[in-house]
Amino acid sequence: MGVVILIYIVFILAFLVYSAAGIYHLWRFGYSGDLTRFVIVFYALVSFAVIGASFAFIIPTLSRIS
Amino acid sequence: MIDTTSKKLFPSQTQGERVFLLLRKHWFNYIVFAFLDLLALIPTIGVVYYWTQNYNTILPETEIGLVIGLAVFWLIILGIQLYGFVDYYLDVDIVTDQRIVDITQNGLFRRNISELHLHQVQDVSAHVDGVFQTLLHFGDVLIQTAGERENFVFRAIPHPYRIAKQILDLHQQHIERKRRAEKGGAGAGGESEKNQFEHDRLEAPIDTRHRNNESDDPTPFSSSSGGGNVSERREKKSFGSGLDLRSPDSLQGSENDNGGGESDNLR
Repeated sequence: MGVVILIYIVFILAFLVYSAAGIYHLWRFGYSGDLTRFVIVFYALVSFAVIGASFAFIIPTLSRIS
Repeated sequence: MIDTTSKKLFPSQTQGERVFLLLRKHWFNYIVFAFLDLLALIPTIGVVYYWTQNYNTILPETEIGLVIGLAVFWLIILGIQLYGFVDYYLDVDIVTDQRIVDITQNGLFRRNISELHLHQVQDVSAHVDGVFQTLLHFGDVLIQTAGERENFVFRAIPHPYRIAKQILDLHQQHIERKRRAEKGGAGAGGESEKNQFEHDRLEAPIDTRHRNNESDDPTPFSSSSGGGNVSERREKKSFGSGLDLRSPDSLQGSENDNGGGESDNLR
């Protein structure tokens, strides 16, 4: 189980790097007043919600196992 | 509304250069990514259903595996959505009073900016091909250039006929202004005409209303497609050939045909 969680953490790190590149492009080449700012905020919120929810479940379950 | 004054729309934009059109692909080209979200719901619902059915018997390790699987799945979907949005939204075609700029964004790390000066435009044609393009009013605009330069293609933009005509009108006006300025420069009152030309160029308002999806107004031109099966229909219209295409009078007339608001923007 430890290995699976470790792989998941590595995946999240890669995802964050990829997301940073995408958000940088939107921020750099978007124009003020267009949809880019909204998409950046929405994407960041949803991503953190998914990651946060997964850890909010994993951590108590792990402590229950141990 | 895009604020075109606080930031350059493209690197070589000069101060006072008027932006007439800022175009993106039609929303239909992004719809495949929206469908991806809907498809992603199917495995998610399946996993949740399995979980609820085996709630009492399922092991905690399996629960963690399911949660990680779902999280990874949705993060990948989010990543694909981001890729698609960057690819779609940062792919922009810009028409100013001096040039045509084609900004192509391929994924996250490939960006290409091509420019064409209006006086190099030789021929503009619009192509609407297929059922969806016909029904949703989008298609390609091909801008042929003088010399050995590569042709410009605005792909899958909304209202291609209208855009093609506006580009041609702008080209014609650019030529006229240039000719007037040159003629004025040779004559006695040349300096004042040159100044007026510069003043006109700098003072006119910026219009970016022709972004994707902002108007439901269909093309003002008569369609070349006749009857017959819609799926077999292919439309093509050419809007000019050569630099001295029309006289100023005929240009004025065609602007009026284009609807009041738009023709005002072209002056």
